[in-house]
Amino acid sequence: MRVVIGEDHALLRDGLARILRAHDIEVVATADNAPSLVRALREHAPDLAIVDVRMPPTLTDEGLRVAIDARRERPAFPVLVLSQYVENLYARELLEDGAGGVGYLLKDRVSDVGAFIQAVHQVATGGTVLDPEVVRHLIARRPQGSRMERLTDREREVLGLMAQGRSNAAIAAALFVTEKAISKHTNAIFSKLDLPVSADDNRRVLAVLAYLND
Amino acid sequence: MQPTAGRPQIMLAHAVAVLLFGPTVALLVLGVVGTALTPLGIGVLLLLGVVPATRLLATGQRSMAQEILQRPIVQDYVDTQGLGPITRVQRWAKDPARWRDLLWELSSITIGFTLSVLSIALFLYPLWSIVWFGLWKGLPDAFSDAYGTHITTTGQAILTAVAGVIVGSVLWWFTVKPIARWRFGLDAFLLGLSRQAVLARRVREVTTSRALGADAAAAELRRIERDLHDGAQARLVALGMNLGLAAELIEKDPEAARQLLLEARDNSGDALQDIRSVVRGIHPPVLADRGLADAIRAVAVDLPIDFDLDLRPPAISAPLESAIYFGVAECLANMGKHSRATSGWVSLAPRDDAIQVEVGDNGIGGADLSGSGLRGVAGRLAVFDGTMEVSSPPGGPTIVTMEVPCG
Repeated sequence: MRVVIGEDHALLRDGLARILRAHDIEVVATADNAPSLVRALREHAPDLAIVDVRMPPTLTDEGLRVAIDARRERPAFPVLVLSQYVENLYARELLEDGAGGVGYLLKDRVSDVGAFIQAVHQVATGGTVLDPEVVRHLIARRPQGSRMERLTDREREVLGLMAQGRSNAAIAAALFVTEKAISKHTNAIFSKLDLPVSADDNRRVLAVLAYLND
Repeated sequence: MQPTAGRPQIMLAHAVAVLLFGPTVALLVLGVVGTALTPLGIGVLLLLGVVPATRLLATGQRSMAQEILQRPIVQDYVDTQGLGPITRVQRWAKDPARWRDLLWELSSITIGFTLSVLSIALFLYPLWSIVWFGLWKGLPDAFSDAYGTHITTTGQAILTAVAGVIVGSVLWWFTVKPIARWRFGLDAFLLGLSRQAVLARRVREVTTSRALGADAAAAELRRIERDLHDGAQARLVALGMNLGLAAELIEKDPEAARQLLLEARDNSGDALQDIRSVVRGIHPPVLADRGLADAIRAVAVDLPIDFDLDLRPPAISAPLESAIYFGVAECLANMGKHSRATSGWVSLAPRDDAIQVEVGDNGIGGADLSGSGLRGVAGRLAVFDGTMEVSSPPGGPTIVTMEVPCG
């Protein structure tokens, strides 16, 4: 797998590159500001971009904007966005195109190297990985009259784990039930959220998006 | 009773005011003539000279009245700098302050002049009584009458003279202050801003200083957020990465893991250092522990510059103390970074109802006033009605003066 890293802090850029290389992931380019990140993405056409939200020149959210623009240019281009803090708004903007291949994680998640590498692979293959922090906020917030109201507590729990990028098998293990029971829950979720019948992966993304949009 | 200046100053002011009678009359006449002749070009020419001269006279009288009444008397003239002669005269015509100057001239040469002369006359009367006695002695025929009474004996004359001295002195003594209050009060009324205008002016000042303060506070919070984001937070993330990778490698490649752990230890120390410096930027521990003087001393000893410190801070509120500390710290930081000074000084002492702070050095000068640092200081001080002045000609020396009321 070929990866481009956009991160302005040298310490973190080097740390990320070191972790990726240790797991046989090739870092083809690194960028410490938004314009050079855009150039690197065009030049190397990597399989995945790992991008910090805040980067020079303005030190606001240009990393996020570069990621969204890159996905507009190359639909479903896998992007893993890292940040010191997470905002549901940003998660929603990233997922809005419904194409999947999006990760949005707090930077501290990288220290759980195994889980981080797994997230990298998941995003690269079109999965959606949202930080547990984003999911926690969503579960806490339950607006009246929304489609989410139709879900049972258990289904919401399953959807939350789905948003974190877990497979049915992993969700089953986390909730101490059979995988079959989980697939029953996911089907119930899809139909309650009026999601069209399509590839399972895509429906998972749409379900998470519905979750975020509420 | 309002306070006034002492009797000698009052008499001096009356004397000056009386001496200015002539110029005042001249300016009033010229001003009225000039205004009347404005349709003809000559009036404009006349006003271009007369109006500024009137302002000069009014400014002098204002500062005299201010001295006597011991309260500030301010006036806002419409700014006409850089305008052409015609527009300038047009602006003057619309400026109430200029018309009030004219009105003051009228009052000054009538009521004002009369009151001043009265006070001076009462002051001179005892002297006159003595002179009269001398004249009575020397020229008995011409000066035998006093107040319509024919005085024939020396005893009578002495009695009359002594009575004149006593009555005159007592009258003067007790009337001098009320007369001064009337005279200069009238001047102040006509030359100063009305109460409403003073309040409006104050509101403008407060609005500006509040905005400056809010700007300074917002910039401060933004700086703290940045410092944490780029410093401690990033270092802690890197620390986590190192530890995570080390945990993975510990069996496969113990030497690499050891290296990562050592790096992690350094990172934790750096993160702590970052947090410390952020805390110092919010509220320095030494300021909390030892107060303003020692906190400034602590900043000064960190610089490779010889300092002459004269720090006598009065008891002040913590927010004010903090604003002054950061003001001085910013100046000292600039001095260390840009001035190339070898010696510097800081003086901090109460003066009247304010604290006056001066920071100076023998460096190369040319301090950048538009820099965010000094502007931030000005904003913080403005919240307390404080002011900052910087004198830093190219070639030096640089002197920064801060004054903050603390009454």
